[in-house]
Amino acid sequence: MLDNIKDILANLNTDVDQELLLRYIIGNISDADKRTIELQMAEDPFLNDAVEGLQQVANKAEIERVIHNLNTNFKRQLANKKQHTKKRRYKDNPFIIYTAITVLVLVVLLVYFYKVKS
Amino acid sequence: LAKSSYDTIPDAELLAKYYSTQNTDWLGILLQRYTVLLYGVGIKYFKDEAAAKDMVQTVFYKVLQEMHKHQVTYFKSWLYTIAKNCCLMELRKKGLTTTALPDDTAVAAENTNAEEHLTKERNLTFMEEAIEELNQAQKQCITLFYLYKKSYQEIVAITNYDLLQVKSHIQNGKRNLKITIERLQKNAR
Repeated sequence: MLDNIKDILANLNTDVDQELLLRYIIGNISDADKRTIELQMAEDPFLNDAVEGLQQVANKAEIERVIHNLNTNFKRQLANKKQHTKKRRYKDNPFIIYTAITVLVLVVLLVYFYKVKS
Repeated sequence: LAKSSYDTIPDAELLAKYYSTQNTDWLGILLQRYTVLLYGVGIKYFKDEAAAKDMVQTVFYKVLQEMHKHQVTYFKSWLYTIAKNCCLMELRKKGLTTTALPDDTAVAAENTNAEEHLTKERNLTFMEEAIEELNQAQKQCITLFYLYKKSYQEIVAITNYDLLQVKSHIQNGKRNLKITIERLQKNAR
């Protein structure tokens, strides 16, 4: 039993598997996994606060869907931000567009003169 | 929850990839690891699921906007601080709390983390003595949780404390143990 004493200052890894955490909240978890989560909670105030909050949710089975929706919205937000950045890059650098147009006009003219000559 | 091939990459590595490429996809992967925790923290502070969802989105947005301005080492601690500040600011706006926000939260969080890493080096010689110095409630909860490997619920049943008291006794007990051990080590030198 005294061997367990070292756990108190062990600085355990507090990276929690989200799926395992949700199973803990629902109560569908093995004793060993429950022990792992509770040791991490004692170590990590972020996790401890989150568990206290999640335990207040009335319909715990809904949590997974909510998280999925939040992540989907976030991915959309990220994609929009990237698109916006790309557009701004062209807007802020009209030189890129002018160069492209100039090159295109030159190519068309070259083809035209080549055809006229031949 | 969907598993991704990036699940095994440590936070620090994802952070390094983000800082070296400025590609927000890396930040996205990192943030989504903490959606559940952020949502839980939001509910704890607001006692409201809709407000918690808004808070998660605000934190995501804030991190996307602010991340490149900071050199973050311990992402999880930093994110927790951002999340708590978001909640406290919102509650203050609504006049529900007067708690002051820390000035440089990111630095404070990182110091705490670095401090905790130092404890790895400490020896356990003084542990038994330190446990004896705890108050009765902390001693009982620490002993049951760490030495007898009891779950929180089992400790609630054994001690008749409620769940929050049990967690609080364990956390405060741990903090007191660290302080006592440091003192005992200093005295022994």
